Amino acid sequence: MGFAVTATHVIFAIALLSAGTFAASAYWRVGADVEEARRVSGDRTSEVAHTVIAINGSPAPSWASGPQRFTFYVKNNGSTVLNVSQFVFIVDGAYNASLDSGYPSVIGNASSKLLMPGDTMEVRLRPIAASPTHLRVVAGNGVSAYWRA
Amino acid sequence: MGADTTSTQLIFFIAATVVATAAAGIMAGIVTDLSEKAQVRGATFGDAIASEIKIINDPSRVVVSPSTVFYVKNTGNTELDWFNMTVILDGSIIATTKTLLGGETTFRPGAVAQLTYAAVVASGDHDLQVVMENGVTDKMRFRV
Repeated sequence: MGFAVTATHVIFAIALLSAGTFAASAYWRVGADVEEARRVSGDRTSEVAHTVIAINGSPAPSWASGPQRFTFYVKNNGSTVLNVSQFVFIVDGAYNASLDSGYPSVIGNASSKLLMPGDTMEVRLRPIAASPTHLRVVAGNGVSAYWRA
Repeated sequence: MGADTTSTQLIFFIAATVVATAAAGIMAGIVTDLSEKAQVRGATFGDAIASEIKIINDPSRVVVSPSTVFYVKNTGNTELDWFNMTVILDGSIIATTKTLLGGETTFRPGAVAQLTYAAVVASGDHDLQVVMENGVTDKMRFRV
């Protein structure tokens, strides 16, 4: 009888140990996943907080009727490095990706795809049938700048 | 007498062992199942935290004719299921045609999706909300 009780206790102890080990492993893994996701989210929030872009007023956005080309300049006034190829342009409410060859181009560093803090990039969209009156420029992380004629 | 006692004890021992093993197995199974579900939940939660979308329309110049067009950009760190977006306009779910712009084939970080609503939105103020399958959402108020 006594041995049966002992054996029962041993069986329960082994089961508790293995279940506890599995549960603890799951707890730490979940914690690590959530912590990593929070870190990524925090990095993104921090990046957005330090990103400021502006559509230059001088020279102002301009439209040339002959080549039907819309030209404007975007300056990185923040402290983060932005990827030129991830910018999105909304012209008069419509998405527009009709970039002239070689544009957007970072002024002073045409071969680079990085818009460093303080850099300005020139953007040329063509063909644009009429002179645009509204422009929204959106960076890769969602920060945007707005211009209205 | 001695053999009877021994047999009885043996029977009790076997019975106790079987019952304990069964109970322990059930308990371990439940804990394992709960742990697996917790891991899935944690991964899902982490995925939602790492995801983000932004409606990038010009709120004062939303294209409404011949159909209404919205643009959603994946500004997060995870690839999203763009085909399962839920679009809510002024509190009602609307059916939209979804396409990826810029030659993209997946709604990866940085990609832009175009949502076309085959109706003209009336003049006035409107509220738009886009919800992804993992709960990530963005809202935009705009005026037509």
